Amino acid sequence: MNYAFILALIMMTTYIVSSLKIPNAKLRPLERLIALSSLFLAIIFTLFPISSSWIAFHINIDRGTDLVVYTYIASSWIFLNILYRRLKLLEDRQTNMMREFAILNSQNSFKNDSIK
Amino acid sequence: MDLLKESLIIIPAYNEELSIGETLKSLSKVFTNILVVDDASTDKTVEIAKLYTQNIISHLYNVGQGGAIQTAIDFFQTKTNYKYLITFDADGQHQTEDAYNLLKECDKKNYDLVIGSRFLSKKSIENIPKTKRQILKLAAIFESKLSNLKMTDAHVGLRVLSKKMCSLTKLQNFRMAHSTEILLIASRNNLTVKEEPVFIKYNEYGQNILNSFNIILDLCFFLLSDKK
Repeated sequence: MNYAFILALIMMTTYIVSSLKIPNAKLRPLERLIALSSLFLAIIFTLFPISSSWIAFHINIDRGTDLVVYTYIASSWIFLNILYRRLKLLEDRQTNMMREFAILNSQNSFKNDSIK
Repeated sequence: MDLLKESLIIIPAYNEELSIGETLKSLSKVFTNILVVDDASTDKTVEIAKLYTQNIISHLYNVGQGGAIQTAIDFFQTKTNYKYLITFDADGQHQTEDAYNLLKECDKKNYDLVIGSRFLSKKSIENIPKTKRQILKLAAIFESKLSNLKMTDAHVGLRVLSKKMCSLTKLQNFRMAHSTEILLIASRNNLTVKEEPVFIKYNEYGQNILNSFNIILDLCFFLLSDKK
C-alpha cells in the first residue's frame, strides 16, 4: 500500500506539472472536485471517526488514522502542485507582458550603427 | 561589411558591472549592431553599457538568461534588416573573433544554428578546469541523446541563430536550461546545426559547478511540462 501511495503521489505531480499547457478552465472542474472531496472526507472523518477505520479496513490499510494521514498528505500535495502550476502560468503571462513593454520602450532609442 | 550590418549581437546581462565594459569595448571594434538586454540589474551594468551603446532593453524584473534571450529574439523579430542573431555572454568569457568566425561559418554554409564548442581545439580543452570538463562531457552526451544531434559541448552561450531559427524559437525556460531547449527546437524542426571551436576564458564571474544542479532541475521541469 505504501509503495502504491508514493507512486500515486508521483503520478499526480507529474500530471499536474505536465499540464502547464492545459488551459485553466479545463482543469478547474477537477481541482474543484478534489477540493470538495477533501472537504467532504474531512467532515465525515470528524463526525464519524469510526468510518475511517471501516474504509481503511476495506481498502487494505492497517488503521483509520493511517488513512486520515494519507488523505491529508495527498490532498496537501495536490494543492501544492496546483498552486505551483497556477504560479508558473501567471509568471509566464506576466513575463510576456513585461517583455512587450520593455521592447516597446526600447524601440524609440534603438539605432543601427549607434556604437560610440 | 554587409554581414556585420545584417547581424545583431545580443548580450543578456545581469549585474555584470565588472565585465560588461570590457566585453562591449571588444565587441564594438568588430560589430556594429549591439543590443544589451539588461535583466533588471541592481548595479551599474546599464550605466556602463550606455557608454558603448544606446541599444539597451531593460527588464522591469529579473527573469533569467533564457528570458533575456527570448526578449532579444522577440525584438529581432520586429526588425526586418537583420539575418542573424548572435548571443554573447556578458561575463567576458567569450572572444569577439570567435563570434565573428561563427557568424561567417553560419553565413557561408547557410546553417540555422551555429554553436561554439570548447572541445574542438586542444588549446581550449586544456583551458577547461578538470571537474568542469567531466561535467560538460556528461552534459554533452545527455544533450546529444535528448536532441539526436551530435554535440561535443553543452551550455556555451556563444551561438548564431538564423532568422528561421529565431522565428521558431519561443523559449519556455527562462533560466539556464534554455541552452538545451534551443537544441531541441533546432532538432525538432530539422534545422541545420553546426559546432565551431571557441575559446572560453574562465574567470571568477562565470558559472560555478553547483549551478549545474540548478540547470538539471530546470531541465527536468521543462521536459515534464514540454508537450511536444
